[in-house]
Amino acid sequence: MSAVTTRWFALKRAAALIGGQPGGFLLNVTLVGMALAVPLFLAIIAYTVAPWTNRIQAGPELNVFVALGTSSNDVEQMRLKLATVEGVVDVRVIARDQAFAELSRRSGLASGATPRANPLPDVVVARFAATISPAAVERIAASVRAWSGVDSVRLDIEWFRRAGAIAKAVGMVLAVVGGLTLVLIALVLVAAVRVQAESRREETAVLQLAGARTSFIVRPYAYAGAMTLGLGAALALAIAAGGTMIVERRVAALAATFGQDFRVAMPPAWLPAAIVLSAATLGLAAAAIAARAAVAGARDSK
Amino acid sequence: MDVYSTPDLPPLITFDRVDKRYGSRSVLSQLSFSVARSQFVLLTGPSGAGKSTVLRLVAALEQPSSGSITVAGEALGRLKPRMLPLLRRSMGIILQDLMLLDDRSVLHNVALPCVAAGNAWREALARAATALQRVGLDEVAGRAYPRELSGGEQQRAALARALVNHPALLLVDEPTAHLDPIAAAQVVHLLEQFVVAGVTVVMASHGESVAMPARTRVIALEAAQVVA
Repeated sequence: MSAVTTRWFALKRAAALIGGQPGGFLLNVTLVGMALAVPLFLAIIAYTVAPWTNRIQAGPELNVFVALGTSSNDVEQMRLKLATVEGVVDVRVIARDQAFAELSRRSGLASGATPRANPLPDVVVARFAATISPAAVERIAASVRAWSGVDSVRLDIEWFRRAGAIAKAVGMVLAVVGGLTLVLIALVLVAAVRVQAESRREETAVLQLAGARTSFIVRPYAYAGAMTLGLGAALALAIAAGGTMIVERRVAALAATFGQDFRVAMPPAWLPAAIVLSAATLGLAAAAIAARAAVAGARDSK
Repeated sequence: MDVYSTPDLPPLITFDRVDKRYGSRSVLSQLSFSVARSQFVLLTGPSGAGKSTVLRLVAALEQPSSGSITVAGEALGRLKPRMLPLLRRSMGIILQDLMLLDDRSVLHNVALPCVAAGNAWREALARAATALQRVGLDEVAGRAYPRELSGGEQQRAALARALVNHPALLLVDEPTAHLDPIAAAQVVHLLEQFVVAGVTVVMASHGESVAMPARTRVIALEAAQVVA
């Protein structure tokens, strides 16, 4: 018998195993689906929100106060130099005259009063990418501070550091929730397969007496496990997608307050397929391990 | 070695000073015998004499405490675990518990070892049908579920399942224990036919009054030893 025929037989036996306990199978698929839906839902939201937050999220800014008396040509050179620094996405110059005029306008000094000498320096403002690390920004700030023509440098990075820590914490929570869910699901599957294999001890004994290899005995359980987790993952994706659609309107309203247009961006088609395939592979492996243990137990107790 | 060994072929089964103990209880002690090919061997003795243990040792379901067992030229003590399935495929094993699976028909029960041995399902079904015919069970019995058969028919179905892979050796534990004399005689007659066809049959029985074939070799076990 070819490998294909052997596997086809195992697939039919797996279908028979499932058909023998349809209620248990549906319960397991539902359990897996609901458990996986939580991290998947959060992941879809994160996937959808990520490009949107990248658009609205500003990176840290470095304000370089130019020493008084520096020529506008040197200020321009400083701007160009800053623009070449790695991680800098935008550089603009706030000219001292422009800043003074704005200050005067706001403070009401522009009309009537005797014009005073402008005490303000030119300021070069460099904006960094949101992905840059706070340590890198601090290193750049220290280096810029030593440039010729620089009077002082101001770096407001605490909020950026806090935002980064929050993002890391959220990512960690997501990873832990996802990991724990996967472990939980695998354990539930292992327990279910062991019970099922134990309940079919007689069949195992008959097959062993007939000279069946362990892989032959285990394969139907492994396929049933793959079907359980594969279908569970598909159900979880459907639940997560449905949940995302439901919250889309509220998130869109929130986005509007930032002046942004928000629409749920579902992941590319290959990603759900990869998730289902990965879940099925996990199910295959977990069920095979559980069935092997049960078969070994049956052999030991025979 | 004994007089039953044929000079041109090595024995199919050889026990050489085999001991088997369960804890402090000795079941077999220094057991030595050999079985030639195409023999009908009756292992007999009172309950607890070790008849079933001998069969389980031959099938490598258990390991001896000491001594060596050779089956079809393979020393079981040196057999690699991955070779065990291949050895078992050359045997038909019927334990006291027939282990007919109630969730499938008799035909499918009989076909199972054939698939486990690597045959396609369709071929397995054809061979199972032939095996059922050999033991005198018809198509109707094949379609039935094991619980729907009589004790004698169940024993025949188990025989068919043991024979479906055309084994050279058939190990049968108490096949007539729960049968009426007529059904028991039919089973023994069937086993005799397999011997004529070249199969070696080792049957354990505690000695109920069933007429055994004339050329049956009797190995009597008592108090953990061969006494005849």
